Order: sequence, then structure tokens, then C-alpha cells
Amino acid sequence: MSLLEIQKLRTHIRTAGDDARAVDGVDLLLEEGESVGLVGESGSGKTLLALSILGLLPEGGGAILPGSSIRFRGEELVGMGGKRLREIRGGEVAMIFQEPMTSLNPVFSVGNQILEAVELHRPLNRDAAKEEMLRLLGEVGIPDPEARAGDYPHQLSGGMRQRAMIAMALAGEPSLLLADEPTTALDVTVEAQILQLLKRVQARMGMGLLLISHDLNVVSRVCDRILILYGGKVVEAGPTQKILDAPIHPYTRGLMGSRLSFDDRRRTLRPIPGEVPEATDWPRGCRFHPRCPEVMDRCRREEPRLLPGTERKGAVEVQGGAPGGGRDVRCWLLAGEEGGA
Amino acid sequence: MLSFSLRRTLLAIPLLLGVATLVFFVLSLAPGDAASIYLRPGMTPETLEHIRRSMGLDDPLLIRYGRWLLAFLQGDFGYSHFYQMPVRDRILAALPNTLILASGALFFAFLIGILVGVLQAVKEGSFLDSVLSGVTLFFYSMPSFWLALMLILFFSLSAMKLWNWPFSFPVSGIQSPGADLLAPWDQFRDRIHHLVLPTLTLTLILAGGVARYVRTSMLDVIRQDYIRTARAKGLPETRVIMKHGLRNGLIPVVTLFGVYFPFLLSGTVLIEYVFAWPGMGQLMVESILRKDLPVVLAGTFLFGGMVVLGNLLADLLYGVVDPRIRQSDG
Ligand SMILES: Nc1ncnc2c1ncn2[C@@H]1O[C@H](COP(=O)(O)OP(=O)(O)OP(=O)(O)O)[C@@H](O)[C@H]1O
Ligand SMILES: [Mg+2]
Repeated sequence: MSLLEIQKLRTHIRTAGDDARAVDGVDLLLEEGESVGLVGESGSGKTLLALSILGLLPEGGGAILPGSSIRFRGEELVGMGGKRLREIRGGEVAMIFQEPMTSLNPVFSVGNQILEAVELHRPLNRDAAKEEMLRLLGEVGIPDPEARAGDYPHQLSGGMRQRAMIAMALAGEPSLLLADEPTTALDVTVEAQILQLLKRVQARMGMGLLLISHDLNVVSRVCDRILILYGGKVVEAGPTQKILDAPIHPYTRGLMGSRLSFDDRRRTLRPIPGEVPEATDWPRGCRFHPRCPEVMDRCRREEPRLLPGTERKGAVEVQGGAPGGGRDVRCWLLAGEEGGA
Repeated sequence: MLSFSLRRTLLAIPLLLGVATLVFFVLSLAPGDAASIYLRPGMTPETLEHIRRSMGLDDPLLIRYGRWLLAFLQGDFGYSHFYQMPVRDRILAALPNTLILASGALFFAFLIGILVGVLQAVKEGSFLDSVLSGVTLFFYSMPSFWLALMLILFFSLSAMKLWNWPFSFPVSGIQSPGADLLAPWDQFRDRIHHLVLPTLTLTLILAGGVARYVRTSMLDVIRQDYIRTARAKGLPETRVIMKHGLRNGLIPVVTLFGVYFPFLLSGTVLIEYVFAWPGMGQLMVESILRKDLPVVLAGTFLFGGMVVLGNLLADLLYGVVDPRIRQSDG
């Protein structure tokens, strides 16, 4: 049994016009202690996917469609509510958010907010819980926990706030941590520290980690496997090293072109032209085709399926079909005639 | 923050004196004066003139003003000829009646207003929300005297007889005639009974405004990221709303509290009038009509003082509910 098993997840948002098909048939497998990265540009559906797991979709608007399944250690989370869901939230699956500025409550001290999570999920008396809260602050690298515990969020720097968020998420000793762009709002040095921290606590606690980012670079530093999301669908998935060494999908290659890291600063930055369309009107055929440098006729008509793929050979020519290295790709470049939807 | 508020409060004192001065001149320039209180049928103009002189009303305006100001600055509010007692005593007699009416109404208005506003925000867009919006708008925009008359119509003794209500409430005064002779407990009950309708009127009027304010504020708050964080933590929804939401949602409501605070002293003139409630509002109206200048001036100064105090209190409360303000001291 996997730690997290998502099947055919479709999360749509009702709008005045057409529904926004923000997450549109995603499969995802995450084993105990494994770290998986979810990468995609803004608007590709990353946040809604993570919120779907904990049932935190915006009220009134978001809905998980019938036929979707999210199982945590075999237990179905879709449609779950009440006490069991509250036990899982924070206790078994915790989440940290993109904006450390707005995700902490401004009128309560960080110590208070972490303590609240400890008391909710751990059978400790008041004193022991307080002790644990201070230990957590220390664990996430906040100096002088006793003094900082009384601080309010506005008194902390962005990096410190995100550390406090992480401490809060760890308070219930979860076995799965969902981290939605935890470093996007931070500067580069702080980002490196926070990633380091996540990696360390993940290893120490044997937690599963779903790390979400628009930055392939960030994810590749932490994760064992990577899923590339575009238009609410997985377009490529596989082990980190394989994806970095030989990206297959043109979108993945685009992401690599637009990433900038310490070791390849010489490379020129080539962002993918255009932007992600609105989730209310995805293009026909392959959702990436209007921006794809290798677009073919077929891409405009038919939507490709997610298929096991092999390494990319040469510039355009790609062999499809044969399973290789646990890699899946959704692209007509890869498939022969048999790959149609 | 604190020093700023204190400075503002001190600056308000000359302003209040200025307002009282203005009232002094306006009322002095209007025709008629307090000597008419002593007017009796068949009185000769000479006698009246004599009375005016003995009251000091024939002195030049500026002399009278100087006399009033000097005494006022020494804490002497003067003498009310109509009530035949020092102004201070007259005000101290009216004040408790207003305080008890207004403090009860303020308390219930904020309690009910906050609960209704939160409920509406949580159930935004529901049938309940629409109904409550209609109800709060109704009370919010209704003239207070009209609501008072309606309540009298529905809850008075005659209404009870007409429609066979199981209860009725007294519609005027603070106690029944001869209540002083009752046993202490019955006397207390009699007082409470008299409080019901005026308090209800003021409560409904104020609660409508509070509820609308709280609803707007809470709607903004429950969309914030930290509310999602609180849910992600596994908190029950009531804790999410009543702890994480309400504490933030109440920050702007503090302003409203500062605005309503002066009612504690001034009561509301119309409600006290309709219910013949012997409080500050009624005292002020009667004193203006009778040109009982010292009472009006002292009342004006006190009301102004309450507005300033309300502001100061709101400033302090901001500091209590919002740590971001508390720590920006200095
Ligand atoms: N409350 C909402 N109402 C309408 N559409 C929404 C809402 N939330 C998200 N969407 C749409 O769903 C799509 C996916 O949104 P999501 O927030 O999951 O993207 P994301 O990958 O997390 O992007 P980012 O990197 O900007 O956080 C977008 O097209 C967005 O416009
Ligand atoms: Mg997002």
C-alpha cells in the first residue's frame, strides 16, 4: 500500500462561464518516505491538486469530480469529512503554503500557533506541549526559541516565518508533508536554507514529501521523482536524474531552458514563449500545442495519452512504446500510430 | 501609539471648550431666556425685570460669558433655575438612568450584532444570509422613534388585551407609580420591566449596524490564507471561525465601538423622549427648550468629552486586538 495514491483526480472550479478544469485527470503515487516533486508554470493546477488532497478547496467554487480517488494509506480522502478528516489534517498529512507572509495569523504569536497544532494532535499535557513547541522552533533552526515563541508573524523575516510554518506542520508528526512552493516568496540564499531544512527533517522523520514548485531546479535538489504538470495534466514523469539528463516532452525541455542555476549560469535563459491558457478554455488536442516548438498537425487535433517512454534519441526522432526507467510522457513525438487516445 | 492618542486627547479639551462657547453664544442670542421660568400670570414687567437682574441675565453678553467660563474652568457647572438645584446634581440624577439603558443596549447590540454578522459571513449567499441582511438593513435604516412607537404598539398593555399576548411591558418611565413601597425584589423586577422596551429599541437599532459591519469584515477575513492554514492544521470549524477568524474580524469593529460609545452618556434623545425615560437625552432636550443654559453647556461639554473618550478607547482597543499596532509604539 502506497502512502499516497491519487487516481484520475479531476478538480474543477465553477466560474460564471465554463468550469475551470484546473486539475484534469492526474495520477500520482508517493511511497512511504519518498519525495516527489510537482513542477509546472503558474496556472498549471499545482496548488489546487495539493488542496484537493486535504479537502481545502475554496468554498463554494471548487469541486472534486466523481471518479477521482485520493487514497492515503488506503483510506479514501475524497468526500471524507468530520473528525477523521481533522485527525488527518495536520496529524498525518500536513501542508505548508506559498506565502509565509499571509499564511500565519497576524494576531497570534507564532508560539501560540505552533502550540495549538501540538495540543491538537499530540497527547501531551500543557507543559510538555510547550516544551515540544520550543523544541520544534529549535529543530527548524529558529535561534533563541524561548524569545521568538512570543513574537508575532510581522516581527519575523520571511525566512523565519516559513521556518515557523514548517515547525507548525511538523507539530503533528505527519507522515506526509505537502509543501506548496515553500520558497517562492524567499530570496535565493534563504531558499537554499529552507530546502536544506526540508530535506533534513524529511530524512529524520521518514516523511513522505510532495514538493511543489514552478522551478525545476528547486525540486531536483530535493526530490527522488518528478512530475511535470501542464494544463492540469501530467505531461512527463520519472526519476529526477533521468528527467534532468534527458527530458523528453518539449515542455520539460522548455522548463530546463528557462531554468537558471548556479552551475549553468553560462547558459542563456530561454523562457517558453506565451503563457499557460486559462483553465476555462484549454486548446483542443494537446494542451501545450500553441506554445510547442515541435508542434505537428496531429497535436492540434488529438490529445496524446500518457505513455511509458524511453530516452530521447536525436533531435526529433523518438522511440515510443517500450517501458523504460519508469518514465511516462504525454506527447505525439513519442508515440507511434498506436499511441492515440 | 499611546503618546499619540494622549496628545490627541489633550488637544481635544480646548476644542470642547470652543464648542461649549459656541453653544453659549448661539443660545444667548436666541430670543427669550431662563427668567421666563419664573413667569406667573399677572406678573408685572418690573417684577420680571427684577428677577432677570437677580439672575445676572441683564449683564452684557461678554461679562456673562466670562463669568460662566471662569466658574466652568474651576469645575463649577452653575445653577439650574428650572430644576432649582446645582447643574452637577441634576446631571448626576439623570446620568445613572441613561447609563443603565445605554450600557445594556450597547452590550446586547454588540453581542447580537457580532453573532449575526459572523453567522451571515459563514453562510454567505444562503437563504438565511439574505433574510438576515434584510432584517439588519430594516433596523439599521429605521428611525429610532418610529421603532419605539411600533414596539409600544405591539407590547403595551392594550396590545396584550387586544391580541391576548401572554405578556406586556410598561411604556414609560423607569418605574411604576408607587414602586417605592414594593419589596426590594419586586421593585427590582419592576425596574427591569421598564427597561425592556427602551433597551430593545436601542439594541435593535445599533445591532443592525454592528451586524452589517461584522459581516463585511468577516467575509474579508475568512478568505485569508491564515484561515486555510487553520483548517489545514485540523482545527474544528468553530475554532477556525471563532478563534482565528473573529479575532481578526473584530479589529475594524473597534472603530464602531468608539463611535457608539458616547451613547453611554447621551443616550438617544428620541428614544428617551418617547419612553419618558428621565435620562440625559431627555434632560438636554428640556433644558434647551427652557433655555436652561448652564445645563445645556455642561451637557454639551460632557457629550463632546465622551466622543473624545470613545476615540481614545478605540485607539487603546486597537492596540489590544492587533499586535501590529501594539508594537509600533513610539
Ligand atoms: N478560486 C478560483 N476561481 C477560479 N479559478 C481558479 C481559482 N483558483 C484557481 N483557479 C484556476 O485554476 C488554475 C490552476 O490554479 P492553481 O492555483 O492550482 O495553479 P498553480 O499551478 O498553483 O499556480 P501558481 O504557480 O500561480 O501558484 C488556474 O487557471 C487558475 O486560474
Ligand atoms: Mg499555486
